[in-house]
Amino acid sequence: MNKIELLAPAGNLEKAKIALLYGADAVYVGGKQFSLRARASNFTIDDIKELCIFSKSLNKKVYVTMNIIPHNEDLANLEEYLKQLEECGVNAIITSSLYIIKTCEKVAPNIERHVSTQMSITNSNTINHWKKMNVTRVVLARENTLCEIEEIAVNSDLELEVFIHGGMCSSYSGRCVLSNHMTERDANRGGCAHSCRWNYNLYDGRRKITKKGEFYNIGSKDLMAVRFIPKLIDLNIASLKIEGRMKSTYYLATVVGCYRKLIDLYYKNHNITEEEFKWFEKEISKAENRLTSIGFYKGIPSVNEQLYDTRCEQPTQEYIGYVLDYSDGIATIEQRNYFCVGDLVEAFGPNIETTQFVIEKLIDCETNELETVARHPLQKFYINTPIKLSKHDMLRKVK
Amino acid sequence: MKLIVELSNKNLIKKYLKFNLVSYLVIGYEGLSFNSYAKFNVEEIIEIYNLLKNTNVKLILNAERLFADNELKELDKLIDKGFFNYFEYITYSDFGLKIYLENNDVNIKYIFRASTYLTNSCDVNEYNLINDYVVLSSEISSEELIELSKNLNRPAIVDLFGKSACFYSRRPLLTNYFKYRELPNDPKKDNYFVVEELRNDYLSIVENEIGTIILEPKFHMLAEEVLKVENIEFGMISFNKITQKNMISIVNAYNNLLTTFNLEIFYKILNETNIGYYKGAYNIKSVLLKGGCNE
Repeated sequence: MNKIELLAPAGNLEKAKIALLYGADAVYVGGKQFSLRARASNFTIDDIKELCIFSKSLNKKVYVTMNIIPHNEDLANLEEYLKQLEECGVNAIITSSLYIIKTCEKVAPNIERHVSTQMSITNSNTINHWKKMNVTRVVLARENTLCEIEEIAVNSDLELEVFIHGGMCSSYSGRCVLSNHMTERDANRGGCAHSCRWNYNLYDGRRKITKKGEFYNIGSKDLMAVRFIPKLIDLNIASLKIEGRMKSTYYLATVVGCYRKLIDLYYKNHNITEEEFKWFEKEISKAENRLTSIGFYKGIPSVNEQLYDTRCEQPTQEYIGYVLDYSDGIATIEQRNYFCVGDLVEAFGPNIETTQFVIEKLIDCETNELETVARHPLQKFYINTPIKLSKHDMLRKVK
Repeated sequence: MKLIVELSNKNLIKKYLKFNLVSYLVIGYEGLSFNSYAKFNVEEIIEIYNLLKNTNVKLILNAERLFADNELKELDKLIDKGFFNYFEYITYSDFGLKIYLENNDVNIKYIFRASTYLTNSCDVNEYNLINDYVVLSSEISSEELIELSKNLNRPAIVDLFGKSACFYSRRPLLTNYFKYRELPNDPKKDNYFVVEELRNDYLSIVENEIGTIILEPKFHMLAEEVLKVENIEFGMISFNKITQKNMISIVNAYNNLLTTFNLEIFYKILNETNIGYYKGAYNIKSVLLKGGCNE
């Protein structure tokens, strides 16, 4: 049995490398064409090539999203683009267009074809249909319950990819054009305005139901499936997917790093204790403070999975520095946010135990001792650390 | 171009039979049709089938929802009863349904109707190869629709008139909200609307056993385009949220247009209905935000 894949999003090259270094087995990225998430910076062909070389050096994979639902004008240069991706060494494309799948098979046969969640796949018969189209993997709809995923896993031959973390559409993905009708921004071509997260008034006929100061909301809390990872591994799911190509490097490092450790722990012990689950949930919540839920995993979402009234999207703990180097007990840090001597901070990284310590002394590049260093983002400085750090480790302030 | 008309009331059948271009009536059934105006039970469907037996008008089943595996298995009861024999075609959007029916030797023809996916001629032509018909997207501009129709490998169907679901969720979004606010309202009532806080459009929101849908604010319609498209064999008319009297007027308007090609008469009949219609997405070349996004 192959070890389950941890698949992470990346909006640019730096984020992709961080995701891979923090434990993702593969990353999915958008190119300049054919990709949703129009606001992600997205990758040039040269970026994709560099990423493929980097990922192969780590024996990891790169998938390119071609998940817009194209109009005629979007399909120009499709063959050329696919050939370029093949030359770069891309492992797979993720798409919702039958034509793109067929064209890829014809002109870039070394690239695997994965069917995007935009196709809203909810049963094994549909998967068997896609198998006939020579795809190798399907990304299941986020609307499948764990029981349904189990039934699908038993009855289908293709690799299955499921979402475990991140933002959730309230509608079936690929079937929503609310944004198109509200803003003329095409949800299925990268322009989604997230109209499902807006405030609405609800009427019964012409009688307003929502009271003054209240709104009717249909948005969903984010998904966090920490407690379902063991079962998904047992079901022989091929890939666990984290959502969020717009997210920061800090978010990716935190979330990817935690899921990596969780997966590895389960393979090692064949069990995760309640205490361990709680630790992982707490660690992941340090990435972002958006409200999370278990989505459809335990059944059709109830009140608890909906996003009403409260929204808070600030990180619970502040990302303050990125480790550039370490030597003889001294770490070279590139600063991200304000902090000062005396602050309690936490170091975390792909190969270290998360460790808290107090900043005792700050030294800048000219070896001047500083009282605080947080005035200039990206400033470099040196600190003493109680544990050995490595390049790519990160520091966050403990609140 | 001939007409496919959604049936909302069996009393309308005789009236529809008077229109020479009406070729098929679309029937909704509880549990299969998330977006139908009316749903019929098996006895009513048999009655409708018998009423049409000696006519040239046949039935199409609307089954455009998505299915879980266990929900597909529930179709066995209908298959055993020969339920699907009453229909010549089925409109669907979930390939699992097609495969399931084929594996169970159900003799029916397939119309793929998933508006968001059929937005370019290359994809439509691929879907054409594995279906008897496809319904072209109503989420593309008129220009794109006309262009698309010229590049088809087989005749297709267009969506002439109706209120499409612009949002389809598996979540019970009214039930959950009423619970959250501790309101006594019945979530299955068919009279709720949402209005965005800074806008004025009333969008109908409907929760049923399949989930929750939100309908576009007005009735989208094709008129001038009908005279310009190519390779279109049928036009589809749907009737969410419309009175029976107006249903007949709309079918009359399109029957007339497709017979005489006279737009003036078409608009005269349509305007007499006083319903709010617009071009919908057909009038919009939606913003892509791919290259020039400044947000």
